[in-house]
Amino acid sequence: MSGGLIALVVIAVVVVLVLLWGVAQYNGFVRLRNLVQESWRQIDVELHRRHDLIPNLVETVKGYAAHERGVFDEVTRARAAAAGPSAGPAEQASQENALNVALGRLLAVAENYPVLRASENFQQLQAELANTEDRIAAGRRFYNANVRELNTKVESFPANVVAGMFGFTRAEYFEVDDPQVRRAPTVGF
Amino acid sequence: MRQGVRLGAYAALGVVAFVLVGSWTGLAPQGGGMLLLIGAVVVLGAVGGSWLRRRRAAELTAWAGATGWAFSPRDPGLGLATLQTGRPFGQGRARTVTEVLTGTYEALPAVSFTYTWTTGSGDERREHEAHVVALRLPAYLPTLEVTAEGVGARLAKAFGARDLQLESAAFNAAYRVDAPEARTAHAILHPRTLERLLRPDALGVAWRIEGTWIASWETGATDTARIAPRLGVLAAVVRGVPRHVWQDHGHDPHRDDVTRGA
Repeated sequence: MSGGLIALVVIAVVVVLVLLWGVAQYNGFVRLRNLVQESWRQIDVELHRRHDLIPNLVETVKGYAAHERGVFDEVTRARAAAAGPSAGPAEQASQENALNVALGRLLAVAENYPVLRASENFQQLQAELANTEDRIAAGRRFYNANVRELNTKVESFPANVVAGMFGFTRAEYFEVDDPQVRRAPTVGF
Repeated sequence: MRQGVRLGAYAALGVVAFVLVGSWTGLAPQGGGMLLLIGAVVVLGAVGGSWLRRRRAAELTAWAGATGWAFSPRDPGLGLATLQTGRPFGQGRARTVTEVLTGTYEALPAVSFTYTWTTGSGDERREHEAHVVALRLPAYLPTLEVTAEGVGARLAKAFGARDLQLESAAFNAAYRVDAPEARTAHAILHPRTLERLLRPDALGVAWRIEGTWIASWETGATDTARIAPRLGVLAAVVRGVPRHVWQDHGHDPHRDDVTRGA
């Protein structure tokens, strides 16, 4: 076998290996992108569940504090904005932050009415809201974990070569600024 | 039993050595005397093993009595040999469960036992032993295994093998997480639980949720001093499971506690 032929065979093997690696990287990007999209859809489901609870909560509080019109209008506006279509996770996060602030004011109003706080309906709505927010928090963590993995792969060498060739880009994190979330919980371990 | 067999084996070796030396020097007993000597050694070995077993059983019975638990030398019909399918279970053959201690821990059914199994054959034959502690969960949860990050796992990661990565770099460095359902694993391993698992008493404790049990295992026979610390770690994991995860698997801790009058 001549030296030239051996060199050709080696080059061919290297080319095939590089192509196989490229295919594996491409498929990896597709998998991660789909994971990010699916986990975002799951958050969307939970956000809608929260949005659906809010009108009941507003009506319940209205029954005891009808004069707090400003607070109710704020919550209703913020809910409508959050429930509408958004440009992406960053914009959705901004809308959810505004809704969190409005909800906080609504619950602060409810604190001034002991009879309302003691009502079974209100307590049940609060519990469902807290449960939904826990689900949103869990979904956010999972979504952000998938985004982190995708972004790391997009930025790392040599995978970023494949990302650039096929248009894979960084995804947005979903970061909600919720005072309730940031407060250190009391847990007995 | 194994201790008795070992004692008997050492004694037999001693007898053989005595016979060889004695034959050479002319000091060893002949004929019937030799048979009597061998028989005495075998009996001593068996008696010694039996005594060790009884002493061990007495220790575990005393521990059980002091803690309100129950001791059984064998599996009292709980199917412990097939508690889970992951390691140390499901490996090798001649799988046996001994030194079973049953009770409750933080209101959850709890169990501790020695699990043994055999692998290989001939010169490669090896007996293995593990101390397993486990808590019964209120409902089925998807499989989630958390083990200490070892050299092998680190090497594998260097070549691209990945386990589940969470928000804490310290946790990712200390543990390897394997879970077919990543979403539920993320929900269970939230920041507070990650922090709890980084405390000194939890570091190095391997555990797995599979079916309706959360179990931890360590090499060696039952060590009563290690039961409570390891159950404490498992209980912390169970306490940290969010309500919505339980609800997604048919159990509501708030409603069920009210129903039970807890």
